[in-house]
Amino acid sequence: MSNRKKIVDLFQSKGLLFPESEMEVEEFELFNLIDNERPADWDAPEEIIKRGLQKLQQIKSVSGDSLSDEIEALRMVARKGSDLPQHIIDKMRAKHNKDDK
Amino acid sequence: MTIEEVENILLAISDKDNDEKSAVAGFTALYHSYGRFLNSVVSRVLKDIGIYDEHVLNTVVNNTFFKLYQKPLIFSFRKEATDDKGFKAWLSIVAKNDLKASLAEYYRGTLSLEIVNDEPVIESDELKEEIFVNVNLKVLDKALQLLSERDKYILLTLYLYYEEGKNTPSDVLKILCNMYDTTPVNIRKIRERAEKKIEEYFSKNSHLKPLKHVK
Repeated sequence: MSNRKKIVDLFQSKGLLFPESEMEVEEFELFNLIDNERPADWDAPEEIIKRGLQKLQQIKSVSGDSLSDEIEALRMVARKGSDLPQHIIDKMRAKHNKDDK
Repeated sequence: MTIEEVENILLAISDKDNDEKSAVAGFTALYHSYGRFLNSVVSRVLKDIGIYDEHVLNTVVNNTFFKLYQKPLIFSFRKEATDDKGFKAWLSIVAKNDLKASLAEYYRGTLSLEIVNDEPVIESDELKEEIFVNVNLKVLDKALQLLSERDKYILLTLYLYYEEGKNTPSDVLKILCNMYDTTPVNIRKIRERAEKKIEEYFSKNSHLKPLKHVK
Protein backbone atom coordinates (compact mmCIF):
# COMPACT_ATOMS: atom_id res chain seq x y z
CA MET A 1 0.00 0.00 0.00
CA SER A 2 1.39 3.43 -0.90
CA ASN A 3 2.15 6.04 1.75
CA ARG A 4 -0.48 8.26 0.20
CA LYS A 5 -3.16 5.59 0.59
CA LYS A 6 -2.07 5.05 4.21
CA ILE A 7 -2.31 8.77 4.95
CA VAL A 8 -5.73 9.07 3.30
CA ASP A 9 -6.98 6.03 5.26
CA LEU A 10 -5.63 7.54 8.45
CA PHE A 11 -7.34 10.87 7.83
CA GLN A 12 -10.56 9.05 7.06
CA SER A 13 -10.37 6.90 10.18
CA LYS A 14 -9.94 9.99 12.36
CA GLY A 15 -12.95 11.71 10.88
CA LEU A 16 -11.14 14.32 8.81
CA LEU A 17 -12.77 13.21 5.58
CA PHE A 18 -16.30 11.85 5.10
CA PRO A 19 -16.75 8.72 7.27
CA GLU A 20 -17.64 5.81 4.99
CA SER A 21 -17.89 2.87 7.33
CA GLU A 22 -19.50 2.14 10.68
CA MET A 23 -16.12 2.26 12.36
CA GLU A 24 -15.31 5.63 10.78
CA VAL A 25 -18.69 6.98 11.90
CA GLU A 26 -17.84 5.87 15.42
CA GLU A 27 -14.47 7.63 15.24
CA PHE A 28 -16.07 10.75 13.83
CA GLU A 29 -18.63 10.88 16.63
CA LEU A 30 -15.92 10.27 19.19
CA PHE A 31 -13.74 13.17 18.11
CA ASN A 32 -16.29 15.64 16.74
CA LEU A 33 -19.09 17.25 18.64
CA ILE A 34 -22.34 16.83 16.76
CA ASP A 35 -23.49 20.39 16.29
CA ASN A 36 -26.28 21.65 18.44
CA GLU A 37 -26.94 24.05 15.62
CA ARG A 38 -30.02 23.00 13.71
CA PRO A 39 -29.70 22.27 10.00
CA ALA A 40 -31.32 24.83 7.71
CA ASP A 41 -34.62 23.02 7.18
CA TRP A 42 -35.13 21.90 10.76
CA ASP A 43 -38.52 23.57 11.14
CA ALA A 44 -39.84 22.38 7.79
CA PRO A 45 -37.94 19.39 6.36
CA GLU A 46 -40.68 18.89 3.74
CA GLU A 47 -39.31 22.01 2.01
CA ILE A 48 -36.44 19.79 0.82
CA ILE A 49 -38.95 17.62 -1.05
CA LYS A 50 -40.60 20.66 -2.63
CA ARG A 51 -37.26 22.25 -3.48
CA GLY A 52 -35.65 19.22 -5.10
CA LEU A 53 -31.99 19.02 -6.10
CA GLN A 54 -30.11 22.28 -5.82
CA LYS A 55 -27.04 23.59 -7.63
CA LEU A 56 -24.25 25.60 -6.10
CA GLN A 57 -24.73 29.27 -6.89
CA GLN A 58 -21.59 30.53 -5.19
CA ILE A 59 -18.62 29.24 -3.25
CA LYS A 60 -16.95 31.29 -0.61
CA SER A 61 -13.51 29.93 0.18
CA VAL A 62 -10.96 31.20 2.64
CA SER A 63 -7.78 32.30 1.01
CA GLY A 64 -7.16 35.77 2.34
CA ASP A 65 -3.62 36.44 3.48
CA SER A 66 -4.94 38.92 6.01
CA LEU A 67 -6.82 36.20 7.82
CA SER A 68 -3.80 33.91 7.91
CA ASP A 69 -1.74 36.75 9.31
CA GLU A 70 -4.39 37.42 11.92
CA ILE A 71 -4.44 33.76 12.99
CA GLU A 72 -0.66 33.62 13.11
CA ALA A 73 -0.48 36.77 15.20
CA LEU A 74 -2.96 35.33 17.68
CA ARG A 75 -1.03 32.09 17.84
CA MET A 76 2.12 33.97 18.69
CA VAL A 77 0.74 36.53 21.12
CA ALA A 78 -2.46 35.37 22.75
CA ARG A 79 -1.22 31.92 23.63
CA LYS A 80 2.44 32.69 24.15
CA GLY A 81 3.39 30.61 21.18
CA SER A 82 1.19 27.65 21.96
CA ASP A 83 -1.46 26.40 19.55
CA LEU A 84 -4.65 28.31 18.97
CA PRO A 85 -7.66 26.01 19.39
CA GLN A 86 -9.25 25.03 16.10
CA HIS A 87 -12.72 26.15 17.21
CA ILE A 88 -11.43 29.71 17.67
CA ILE A 89 -9.89 29.65 14.20
CA ASP A 90 -13.20 28.35 12.82
CA LYS A 91 -15.14 31.14 14.51
CA MET A 92 -12.75 33.72 13.10
CA ARG A 93 -13.20 32.35 9.61
CA ALA A 94 -16.96 32.31 9.89
CA LYS A 95 -16.90 35.92 11.10
CA HIS A 96 -14.45 36.84 8.37
CA ASN A 97 -16.80 35.46 5.72
CA LYS A 98 -19.84 37.08 7.27
CA ASP A 99 -18.12 40.45 7.29
CA ASP A 100 -17.24 40.03 3.62
CA LYS A 101 -20.85 39.42 2.57
CA MET B 1 -33.11 5.22 15.73
CA THR B 2 -33.17 1.46 15.76
CA ILE B 3 -32.51 -0.51 12.60
CA GLU B 4 -36.17 -1.51 12.48
CA GLU B 5 -37.36 2.10 12.79
CA VAL B 6 -35.12 3.22 9.93
CA GLU B 7 -36.20 0.31 7.75
CA ASN B 8 -39.88 0.97 8.38
CA ILE B 9 -39.50 4.63 7.50
CA LEU B 10 -37.57 3.84 4.31
CA LEU B 11 -40.37 1.47 3.33
CA ALA B 12 -42.97 4.15 4.05
CA ILE B 13 -41.09 6.65 1.91
CA SER B 14 -40.85 4.12 -0.92
CA ASP B 15 -44.66 3.96 -0.88
CA LYS B 16 -44.98 7.73 -1.28
CA ASP B 17 -47.11 7.42 -4.42
CA ASN B 18 -49.84 5.68 -2.41
CA ASP B 19 -49.42 7.35 0.98
CA GLU B 20 -47.65 10.67 0.72
CA LYS B 21 -48.59 11.81 4.21
CA SER B 22 -46.84 8.86 5.89
CA ALA B 23 -43.86 9.27 3.57
CA VAL B 24 -43.42 12.93 4.48
CA ALA B 25 -43.90 12.18 8.19
CA GLY B 26 -41.22 9.49 7.97
CA PHE B 27 -38.91 11.77 6.04
CA THR B 28 -39.32 14.45 8.72
CA ALA B 29 -38.49 11.95 11.45
CA LEU B 30 -35.33 10.84 9.61
CA TYR B 31 -34.25 14.42 9.08
CA HIS B 32 -34.70 15.21 12.76
CA SER B 33 -32.75 12.09 13.75
CA TYR B 34 -29.86 12.37 11.28
CA GLY B 35 -29.85 15.99 10.07
CA ARG B 36 -27.54 17.18 12.82
CA PHE B 37 -25.09 14.35 12.22
CA LEU B 38 -24.94 15.01 8.49
CA ASN B 39 -24.71 18.75 9.05
CA SER B 40 -21.70 18.19 11.33
CA VAL B 41 -19.97 15.85 8.89
CA VAL B 42 -20.36 18.16 5.91
CA SER B 43 -19.52 21.24 7.95
CA ARG B 44 -16.30 19.63 9.24
CA VAL B 45 -15.17 18.55 5.78
CA LEU B 46 -15.93 21.95 4.27
CA LYS B 47 -13.86 23.64 6.98
CA ASP B 48 -11.03 21.18 6.39
CA ILE B 49 -10.94 22.03 2.70
CA GLY B 50 -11.22 25.78 3.26
CA ILE B 51 -14.85 26.37 2.32
CA TYR B 52 -16.70 28.37 4.94
CA ASP B 53 -19.99 28.89 3.20
CA GLU B 54 -23.40 28.00 4.58
CA HIS B 55 -24.85 27.92 1.08
CA VAL B 56 -22.57 25.00 0.15
CA LEU B 57 -23.36 23.22 3.41
CA ASN B 58 -27.11 23.66 3.02
CA THR B 59 -27.02 22.59 -0.64
CA VAL B 60 -25.21 19.33 0.10
CA VAL B 61 -27.45 18.47 3.06
CA ASN B 62 -30.54 19.35 1.01
CA ASN B 63 -29.46 17.18 -1.91
CA THR B 64 -28.51 14.23 0.29
CA PHE B 65 -31.91 14.12 1.96
CA PHE B 66 -33.71 14.71 -1.32
CA LYS B 67 -31.90 11.73 -2.86
CA LEU B 68 -32.92 9.70 0.16
CA TYR B 69 -36.56 10.68 -0.47
CA GLN B 70 -36.29 9.86 -4.15
CA LYS B 71 -34.74 6.42 -3.76
CA PRO B 72 -35.04 5.22 -0.16
CA LEU B 73 -34.54 1.54 -0.89
CA ILE B 74 -31.05 1.97 -2.35
CA PHE B 75 -29.83 1.63 1.21
CA SER B 76 -30.08 -1.57 3.23
CA PHE B 77 -28.44 -2.61 6.48
CA ARG B 78 -25.83 -5.34 6.60
CA LYS B 79 -27.14 -8.58 8.04
CA GLU B 80 -24.65 -8.26 10.89
CA ALA B 81 -25.56 -4.64 11.68
CA THR B 82 -26.36 -3.98 15.32
CA ASP B 83 -27.10 -0.26 15.17
CA ASP B 84 -27.76 2.59 12.76
CA LYS B 85 -24.13 3.56 12.07
CA GLY B 86 -24.29 1.93 8.65
CA PHE B 87 -27.11 4.28 7.73
CA LYS B 88 -25.08 7.26 8.91
CA ALA B 89 -22.10 6.08 6.85
CA TRP B 90 -24.36 5.77 3.81
CA LEU B 91 -25.70 9.31 4.27
CA SER B 92 -22.10 10.49 4.54
CA ILE B 93 -21.13 8.75 1.29
CA VAL B 94 -24.13 10.24 -0.54
CA ALA B 95 -23.14 13.68 0.77
CA LYS B 96 -19.53 13.16 -0.29
CA ASN B 97 -20.56 12.23 -3.82
CA ASP B 98 -22.93 15.17 -3.99
CA LEU B 99 -20.26 17.62 -2.83
CA LYS B 100 -17.77 16.28 -5.36
CA ALA B 101 -20.30 16.46 -8.19
CA SER B 102 -21.56 19.89 -7.17
CA LEU B 103 -18.07 21.37 -6.98
CA ALA B 104 -17.15 19.87 -10.34
CA GLU B 105 -20.29 21.22 -11.94
CA TYR B 106 -19.80 24.65 -10.42
CA TYR B 107 -16.27 24.99 -11.71
CA ARG B 108 -16.70 23.13 -15.01
CA GLY B 109 -15.52 25.13 -17.96
CA THR B 110 -14.18 28.00 -15.94
CA LEU B 111 -10.51 27.37 -16.66
CA SER B 112 -8.59 25.84 -19.53
CA LEU B 113 -6.31 23.16 -18.25
CA GLU B 114 -3.31 21.23 -19.43
CA ILE B 115 -3.91 17.49 -19.65
CA VAL B 116 -2.15 15.63 -16.92
CA ASN B 117 -1.12 12.20 -18.12
CA ASP B 118 0.90 10.91 -15.28
CA GLU B 119 1.33 11.65 -11.67
CA PRO B 120 4.61 11.39 -9.80
CA VAL B 121 4.72 8.68 -7.21
CA ILE B 122 5.84 9.70 -3.74
CA GLU B 123 9.56 9.08 -3.78
CA SER B 124 10.08 8.60 -0.08
CA ASP B 125 10.57 5.16 1.40
CA GLU B 126 7.47 3.27 2.26
CA LEU B 127 6.47 3.88 5.87
CA LYS B 128 5.75 0.93 8.10
CA GLU B 129 2.17 0.10 9.00
CA GLU B 130 2.96 0.40 12.73
CA ILE B 131 3.71 4.08 12.29
CA PHE B 132 0.19 4.71 11.08
CA VAL B 133 -1.37 2.48 13.70
CA ASN B 134 0.28 4.58 16.42
CA VAL B 135 -0.75 7.95 15.05
CA ASN B 136 -3.47 9.43 17.22
CA LEU B 137 -5.60 12.47 16.52
CA LYS B 138 -3.21 14.76 18.42
CA VAL B 139 -0.23 13.70 16.31
CA LEU B 140 -2.35 14.06 13.19
CA ASP B 141 -3.43 17.58 14.15
CA LYS B 142 0.17 18.56 14.93
CA ALA B 143 1.30 17.25 11.56
CA LEU B 144 -1.40 19.27 9.80
CA GLN B 145 -0.37 22.39 11.71
CA LEU B 146 3.02 22.16 10.01
CA LEU B 147 1.27 23.06 6.77
CA SER B 148 0.11 26.49 5.76
CA GLU B 149 -3.66 26.89 5.73
CA ARG B 150 -3.67 26.92 1.93
CA ASP B 151 -1.55 23.78 1.64
CA LYS B 152 -3.77 21.98 4.14
CA TYR B 153 -6.91 22.89 2.22
CA ILE B 154 -5.37 21.77 -1.07
CA LEU B 155 -4.13 18.48 0.37
CA LEU B 156 -7.46 17.59 1.98
CA THR B 157 -9.39 18.53 -1.15
CA LEU B 158 -7.16 16.21 -3.18
CA TYR B 159 -7.74 13.47 -0.61
CA LEU B 160 -11.47 13.98 -0.86
CA TYR B 161 -11.19 12.81 -4.48
CA TYR B 162 -8.46 10.23 -3.91
CA GLU B 163 -8.86 6.80 -5.46
CA GLU B 164 -5.99 4.38 -5.20
CA GLY B 165 -4.23 3.72 -8.49
CA LYS B 166 -6.00 6.55 -10.28
CA ASN B 167 -4.77 9.98 -11.27
CA THR B 168 -6.32 13.06 -9.79
CA PRO B 169 -9.29 13.94 -12.03
CA SER B 170 -8.58 17.02 -14.14
CA ASP B 171 -11.80 18.57 -12.84
CA VAL B 172 -10.35 18.51 -9.35
CA LEU B 173 -7.16 20.22 -10.43
CA LYS B 174 -9.33 22.74 -12.21
CA ILE B 175 -11.29 23.38 -9.03
CA LEU B 176 -8.13 23.89 -7.00
CA CYS B 177 -6.50 26.08 -9.63
CA ASN B 178 -9.61 28.21 -9.67
CA MET B 179 -9.91 28.42 -5.90
CA TYR B 180 -6.28 29.21 -5.23
CA ASP B 181 -5.32 30.98 -8.43
CA THR B 182 -2.47 28.62 -9.22
CA THR B 183 -1.41 25.96 -11.75
CA PRO B 184 -1.72 22.15 -11.80
CA VAL B 185 2.06 21.87 -11.53
CA ASN B 186 2.04 23.95 -8.36
CA ILE B 187 -0.82 21.91 -6.93
CA ARG B 188 1.21 18.73 -7.35
CA LYS B 189 4.28 20.34 -5.81
CA ILE B 190 2.24 21.52 -2.84
CA ARG B 191 0.89 18.02 -2.32
CA GLU B 192 4.32 16.42 -2.50
CA ARG B 193 5.76 18.95 -0.09
CA ALA B 194 2.86 18.55 2.33
CA GLU B 195 2.99 14.76 2.25
CA LYS B 196 6.72 14.81 2.87
CA LYS B 197 6.25 17.00 5.95
CA ILE B 198 3.49 14.74 7.28
CA GLU B 199 5.50 11.57 6.67
CA GLU B 200 8.54 13.01 8.41
CA TYR B 201 6.46 14.11 11.36
CA PHE B 202 4.83 10.69 11.67
CA SER B 203 8.20 8.97 11.48
CA LYS B 204 9.58 11.11 14.27
CA ASN B 205 6.56 11.16 16.51
CA SER B 206 4.69 7.89 16.24
CA HIS B 207 7.30 5.19 16.82
CA LEU B 208 6.54 2.72 19.54
CA LYS B 209 9.08 3.23 22.29
CA PRO B 210 10.73 0.23 23.95
CA LEU B 211 9.13 -0.44 27.32
CA LYS B 212 12.21 0.55 29.33
CA HIS B 213 11.99 4.11 27.99
CA VAL B 214 8.37 4.58 28.90
CA LYS B 215 7.90 6.77 31.96
